[in-house]
Amino acid sequence: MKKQAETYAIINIADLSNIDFSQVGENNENTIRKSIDESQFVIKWNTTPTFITDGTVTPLQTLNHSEALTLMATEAWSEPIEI
Amino acid sequence: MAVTNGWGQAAVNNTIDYGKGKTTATNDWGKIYDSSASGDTSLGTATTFPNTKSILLDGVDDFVDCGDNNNLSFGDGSNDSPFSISLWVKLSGTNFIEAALSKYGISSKREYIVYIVNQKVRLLIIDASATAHRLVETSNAISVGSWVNIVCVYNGVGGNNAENGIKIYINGSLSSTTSSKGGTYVAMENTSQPFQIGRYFNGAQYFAGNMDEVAVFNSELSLSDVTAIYNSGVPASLSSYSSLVSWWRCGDNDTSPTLTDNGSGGNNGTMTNFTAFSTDVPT
Repeated sequence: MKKQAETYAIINIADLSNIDFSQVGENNENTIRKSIDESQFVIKWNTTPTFITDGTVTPLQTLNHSEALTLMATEAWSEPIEI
Repeated sequence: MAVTNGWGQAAVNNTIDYGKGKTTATNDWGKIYDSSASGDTSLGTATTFPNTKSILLDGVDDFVDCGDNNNLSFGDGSNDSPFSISLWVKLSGTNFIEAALSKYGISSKREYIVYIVNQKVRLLIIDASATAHRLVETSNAISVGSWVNIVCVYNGVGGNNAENGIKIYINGSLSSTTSSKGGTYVAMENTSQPFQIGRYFNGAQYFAGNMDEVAVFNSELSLSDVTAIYNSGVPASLSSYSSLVSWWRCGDNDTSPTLTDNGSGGNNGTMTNFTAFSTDVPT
């Protein structure tokens, strides 16, 4: 069975240019999920990216999948489907 | 001999029971070929339909982008036309809202969306030019953690009572539904909004769980069609449906990150923010 990413991280939008998308699960900056106010975004990985380990980017939070789903369900990240 | 060269593909001197073959591997899957092959040359029974993969969407940012195509739009602003959508889902949790698939973006680019709220399935159609909508929702919740076949059917009636043309089938049975409406609905517009699986484009709603055998038809499927598609809980081949537009098998016969459109629509999907297939399938 497919293994879901082990770690999700919430990153400040100011760090977007520091993300090496070859090291994370997201395709590129155009496909990332942003918070409703667009101040933060999500990345995920199974192997910690070097831009994290070397301190270039410091996550605001790191979460497992279950924790990430819980956060994504909050008003900061989700909103009703507009009609 | 056993089929080892891909699902539904021919084998030499075969006794295979799906797709049927000739003695070369150049014929299309699922097609009866006019060979003189010995053995059963009729279409195989649905139980032999090979299905070994699905997609597992993480509910955070995974989705499939299938692009925009006129054959995935079912309104021209004046009239709607019939369409049906079939998909198999296995919800991984009880997220309040799950966007299953959509052709639904900013207010001027909204056509339709299938989504799940509190495990109840909804089909929403929008007349973007009139800012009008018609919404139908199942009365009962679907299961979490089990495979469920959802078929949404719209007869294309359009107009103020368009919601009366919508039916939702769960596991082959017509579901009781409630409906709501807003504005003066005429018909959907044909917009440039991409068709996406697993998320709602203009908002933060994604689907968490497995999905398989996603299909779009340009007809109003009948109850007997839906019963055949459900096939007692085991996905059946859709290749015999003449109204089949797009059919994403979600892993079978696919090479990541492309989900091949096995219909005639030419709407290959691109797995976005994920690359691997799941082996969890409806059985």
